[in-house]
Amino acid sequence: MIYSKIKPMRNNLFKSAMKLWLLVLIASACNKDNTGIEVNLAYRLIADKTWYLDYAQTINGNTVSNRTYLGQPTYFINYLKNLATSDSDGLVGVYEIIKNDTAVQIKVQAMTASGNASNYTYEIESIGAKSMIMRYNKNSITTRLFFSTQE
Amino acid sequence: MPHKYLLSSLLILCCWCTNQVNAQSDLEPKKEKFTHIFKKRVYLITGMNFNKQIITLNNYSSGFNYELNDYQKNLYKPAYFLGIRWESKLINTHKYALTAQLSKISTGNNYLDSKKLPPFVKNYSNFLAEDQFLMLNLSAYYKQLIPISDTSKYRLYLVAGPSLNTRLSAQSADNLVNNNYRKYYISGDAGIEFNNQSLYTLFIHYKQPLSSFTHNSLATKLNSIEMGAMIKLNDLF
Repeated sequence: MIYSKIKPMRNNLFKSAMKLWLLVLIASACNKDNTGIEVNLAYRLIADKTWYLDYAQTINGNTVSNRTYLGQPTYFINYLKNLATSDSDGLVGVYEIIKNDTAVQIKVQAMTASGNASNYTYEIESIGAKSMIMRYNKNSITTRLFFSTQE
Repeated sequence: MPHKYLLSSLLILCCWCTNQVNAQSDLEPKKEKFTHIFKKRVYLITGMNFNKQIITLNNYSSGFNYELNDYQKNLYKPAYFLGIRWESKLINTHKYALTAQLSKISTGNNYLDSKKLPPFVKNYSNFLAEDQFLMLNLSAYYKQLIPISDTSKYRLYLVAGPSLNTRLSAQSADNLVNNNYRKYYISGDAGIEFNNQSLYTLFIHYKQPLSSFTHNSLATKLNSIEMGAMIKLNDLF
């Protein structure tokens, strides 16, 4: 008698579990906006480090030229956790990591020691815990800057 | 989110078990018979697993680089699992088992290929494989007795079957960017099980992945070796 009441309850429970399972599957299949995650990850890798310029590469049409700074005093830049930046040329300012349609970029707003503004935006081509490649275009010439933490 | 997977999976398994019991019980009071059969056929399983991920990058690219000197670990790493198993027979002769288990997985990651950017970075990957997972494994096994000793005391079985492996743990930020990891992958499991006078069973299984654990052009295979023991619920409670 009791069991005959339990059976429909159990079938309902089974159906509910199946529906819940389907809902979870559908919810997990939905896409999420990952722009914020990418910017945060880039910030986590860049911030709180000093980056040294190891190589510079200029690409002008089919002409590629490389220059190495390894083993010699070189340009370096600090990106601090509080979004402040300073470099070996005496520029001091703030930086911001942003994402445009195609790439993650670093936007620097700095002042020279003599008080002149120096603002620039580089595209971050590749970023890791110890190495980073930035690039920018000027007058149809692409410059790639290869930085490392020299660890 | 993970507990929803677990609860719904366990509910489905429990409902299926009760349906099985209902189909076979006519003489005894059904509730008692259910409890009896449930305890007699359900096992608690636990043990250690050893896992390795084999990664082929193919043409995958992203804006991040990971130096393989820091991440290449071609070895099996140990972790553990806990679950339940239902054992029964088909047509009174063919033994089968259904298993639901939660696995904590720690993996050694073997990158089969790498990228180079000389002279700057020599060996790097644009993909960072996860090395920690929490998985729900649903498996079905066919059990074949190997008659090599006195089967009234010791029984050795060859088992094989498919397994649906569901990732319950979240991805790290490195993989969330491109949503690299799938929720599920399928594996083929095979192994041997030693039953000692129906007191306990010791087993070793090998899980060979049949599908990639990652999206995009990445091919990631998670190989596992499981060693453990199982005991009937009836003997525990």
